[in-house]
Amino acid sequence: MVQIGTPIRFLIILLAVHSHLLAGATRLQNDSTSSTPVPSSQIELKTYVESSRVPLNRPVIFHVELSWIGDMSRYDIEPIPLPVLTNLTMEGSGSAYRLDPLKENSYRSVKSFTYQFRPLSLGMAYIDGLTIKYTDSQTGKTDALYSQRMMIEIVDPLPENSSGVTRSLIYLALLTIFSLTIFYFVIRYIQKRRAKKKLPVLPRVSPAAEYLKQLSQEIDPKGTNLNEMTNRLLKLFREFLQKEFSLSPGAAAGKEVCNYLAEKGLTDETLQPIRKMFEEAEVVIFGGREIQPDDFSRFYTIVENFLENRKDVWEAEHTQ
Amino acid sequence: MQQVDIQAINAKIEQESAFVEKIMSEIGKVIVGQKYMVERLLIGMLSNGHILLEGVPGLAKTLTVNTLAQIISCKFQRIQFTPDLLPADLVGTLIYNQRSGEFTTHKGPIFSNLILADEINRSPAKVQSALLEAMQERQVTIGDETYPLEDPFLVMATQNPIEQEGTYPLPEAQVDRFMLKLKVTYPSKAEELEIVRRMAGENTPGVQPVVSPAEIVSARSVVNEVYMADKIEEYIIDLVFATREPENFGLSDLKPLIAFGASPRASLNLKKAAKAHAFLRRRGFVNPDDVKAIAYDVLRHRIIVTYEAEAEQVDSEYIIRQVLNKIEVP
Repeated sequence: MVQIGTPIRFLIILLAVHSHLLAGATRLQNDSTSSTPVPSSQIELKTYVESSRVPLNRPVIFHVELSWIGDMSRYDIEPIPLPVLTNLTMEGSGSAYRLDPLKENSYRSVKSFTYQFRPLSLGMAYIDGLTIKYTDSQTGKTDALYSQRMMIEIVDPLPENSSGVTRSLIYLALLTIFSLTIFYFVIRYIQKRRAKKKLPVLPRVSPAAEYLKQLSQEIDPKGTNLNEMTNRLLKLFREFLQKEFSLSPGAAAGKEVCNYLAEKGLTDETLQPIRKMFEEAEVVIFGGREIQPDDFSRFYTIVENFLENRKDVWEAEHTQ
Repeated sequence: MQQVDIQAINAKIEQESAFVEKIMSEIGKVIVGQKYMVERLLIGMLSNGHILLEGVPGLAKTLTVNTLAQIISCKFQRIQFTPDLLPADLVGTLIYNQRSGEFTTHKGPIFSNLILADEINRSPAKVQSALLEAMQERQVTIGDETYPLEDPFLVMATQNPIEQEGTYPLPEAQVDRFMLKLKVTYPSKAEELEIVRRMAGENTPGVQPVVSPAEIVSARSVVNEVYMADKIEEYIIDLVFATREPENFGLSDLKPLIAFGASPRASLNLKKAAKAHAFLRRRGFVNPDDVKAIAYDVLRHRIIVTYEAEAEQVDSEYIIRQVLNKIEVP
């Protein structure tokens, strides 16, 4: 701390006392700031608002700052009363303490209080002066500081930026959806055009020819285990009928199959041997009777002839 | 492959099934049409299974059963199920004889060969369960004594699909005890004309007994001998499993429509009924047609559809149709 001579110290004290006596001798630094002109070693009060013109939809920030050179415990500040407000309402407040270092190992203790007010209507708003009582811990003397009444002009509200952002986002989302929809339909259109351009692929071989090949490969009319072969022959024949005539896999006996084939336009002459084959094969497949080689050979021929016939029909249809 | 003497079975069937023609001929004197119902009644009798008949009143359900009883010359009882019927009215009770000071057993109408349980859903659960228990056990206990029921013993219960107010619908577990559920439909126009001409006169035609209950019991053993190939058994199992796990048989669209598929009892009954069907065709082996012919009657009351299916007006018959079309016959 700087050693000050007694006459100078006396002069400073006199000035401080003078400052206190002039209650309201706070000096307006600008439109929105006031402070008590006291020597720096003495307690100082500074009050100000961040802006003297505040839009209706923005808060009024009011600062109260007490500072002095020396320890934080030098002055004991009594609780600051809430300011009397006109056209404003309190939204919140906060306080902070800090030590600002100065030259020569000294520092300034600062107690700051911040208030946030919400304007109520357009026009003028006021924050009445504060009276802050304190006690000097060195002298035990109690005194008070006074601030000036603050005046704030409440002006037209500003447009809200957030709503603009939201609107922009909505526009962007709609634009994206629209673009994707257009994109989807364009792709679909292109795919359809490509599909139309593709020429139908005609099978080179008739289903009957395929099954004739299978018949010769899988079934041996002179082989052993003729019962199993009969089963396989009938299964293969049914598979062909399912493919060629869309016969239901659940169609059961020969009668049902033949009736279905008759509906598909097959003549009775064609169906007669098939009907007979189904009837006879039924006893072999489900009745457990041993089939005679001649019978099996006959079944094989019936199926083979039918497939040959269907192959001829297919070729006649596809050569036209 | 197992060598089966189909010829021997066929010969037996030829001999034992002679009565079928007689029955059909005799019943045709009284009943016009309803061949489907008569045939299924015989299947029930030959495979020792009970039958649930569903149809609107006036379709000759009672007359058919009554006529069949006369033809078989067996005991027939018709029990009209009413809300106040008691189990004792059905199975019988012990009566105190004041003179001798002893209890004597009074057997109920259930001690007959053919029982027509008319409108079974009009009686409360205790009476229904008394009947269904007797059907299952084929014996009745009155007091301390257990009495076996007659053989053949066939219960034909009727249900009226309309007028559901004040009825006690049979629970699914009890419906499952019926081997077949038949849907009796209206006769054709020509059949109805014949009914009018034949039955409107004063002299209604009568029938003669042509078969004895013993012949039915004997025929039953031949039905059991009807050959069923492994393929057919596998086909039956596939059909039943397709009602339980349709997704495994390429019928995924049926999955949300089925709450419960058919039970193993369905597989058993499908086998028995298919054999009886083959017997009626005088064939010594079962073919897929026999299974398909009887599948609706065996399965329709055993497939429980979901609420979704009901909302879409889908019934169990639709599911059976889809299954039969999809499952490949052997």
